[in-house]
Amino acid sequence: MIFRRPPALANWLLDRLGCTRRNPALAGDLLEEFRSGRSAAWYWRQTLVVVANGISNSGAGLRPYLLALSAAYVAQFVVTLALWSRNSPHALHVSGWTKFGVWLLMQFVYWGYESLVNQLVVGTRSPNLTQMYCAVEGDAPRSTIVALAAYQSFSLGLASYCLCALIFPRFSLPGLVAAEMTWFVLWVFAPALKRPPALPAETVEDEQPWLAIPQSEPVLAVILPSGRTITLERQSLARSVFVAADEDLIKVVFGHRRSLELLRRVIWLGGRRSLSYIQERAESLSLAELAALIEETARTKSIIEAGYYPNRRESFRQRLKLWFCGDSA
Amino acid sequence: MVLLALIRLGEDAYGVPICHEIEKRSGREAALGSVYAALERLEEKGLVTSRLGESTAVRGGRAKRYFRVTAQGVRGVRQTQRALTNLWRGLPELDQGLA
Repeated sequence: MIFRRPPALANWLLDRLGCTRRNPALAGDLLEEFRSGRSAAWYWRQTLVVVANGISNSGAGLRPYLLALSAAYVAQFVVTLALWSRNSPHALHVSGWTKFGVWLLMQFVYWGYESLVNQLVVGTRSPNLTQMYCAVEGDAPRSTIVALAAYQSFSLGLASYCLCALIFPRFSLPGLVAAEMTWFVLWVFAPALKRPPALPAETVEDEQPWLAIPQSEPVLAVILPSGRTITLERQSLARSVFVAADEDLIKVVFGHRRSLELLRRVIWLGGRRSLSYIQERAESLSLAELAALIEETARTKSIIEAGYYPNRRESFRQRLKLWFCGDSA
Repeated sequence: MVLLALIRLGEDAYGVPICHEIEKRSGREAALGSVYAALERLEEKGLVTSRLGESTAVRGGRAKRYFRVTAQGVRGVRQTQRALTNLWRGLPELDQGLA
């Protein structure tokens, strides 16, 4: 039995915006339902609901932070508007190369100044303020982080305006508003909403996790450069991975985002909790051998694609289908 | 609705059966994301508790999260039932069968 794969694009959205990385049970429920016969359209509908909830939750959690950013940007816009109405600062009447030099110099000056302020306030030159606000890392108080974010929002907008005013001839009011809106969305608001990293994985109370993989689970087929196909059987694969389930191997495997789902699942199942139990039964591939096999698998993506879609156009079509519709029932 | 579905399902209540139960009883499609959002809110209020269960291959190795109604949750459901009954009682339109 080969399990259907859900639309890859929907999965990506779930992971990035739906917070399913923080709530693996929800991702598992969606997958279980999809594999019990629900359509790709159903999966997409569910995805959109989860994403909407995820954005709403993130927005609610970050509300004071986002409010401070927005308020500072509005204040900056008022100051910018006053400067614009007085045609200040005046545009430089120099050659294009000189303007480029000024632009480059201003970038460095601004970057250095921002780094200095950040270092003084939160102790790091390029902080991820969203993460710090969510108390994922760093120990600066939230009020300090909010104040720094507001200051960055203000100074970034003002510096961008001054730079444009120096380089370009006087621009119209709609042009100024459009530029301000673009800066706000692209440079201030969108990065501020960037999802904080996942929480540490939860431990599952399961003494024999590999038994959760049914006997009918597909084997892992690996195509070597010589063209030979190696088949790793369910149990030997599980044991191999469990034996070597240390952090280095997991890094190797997760480094290849295209690795087969089975392998990811097996490694996930072989969590630290069950490691000692499994080690007693293990005898299989070494860490280096397994890493080499994974390398090969990642290169060929999957045996299905390598075997059935040798034609490039067909391969592209299939990839698009996987992105939007997943595997057919 | 989510609390009632949880009470009906008993010990085996995780996302998928809860969703099925709501769909079966209400006749409408329920989104898993919305059910989870409701469950998280209920858990924050202490009306339900959850524990991680087993993982299966069909779930991509992800564990199930089983939910259970707490005593406070049951009290909340009863209170809501009483409130609804009080609101329902004595409505002239419903008594005359107009609605």
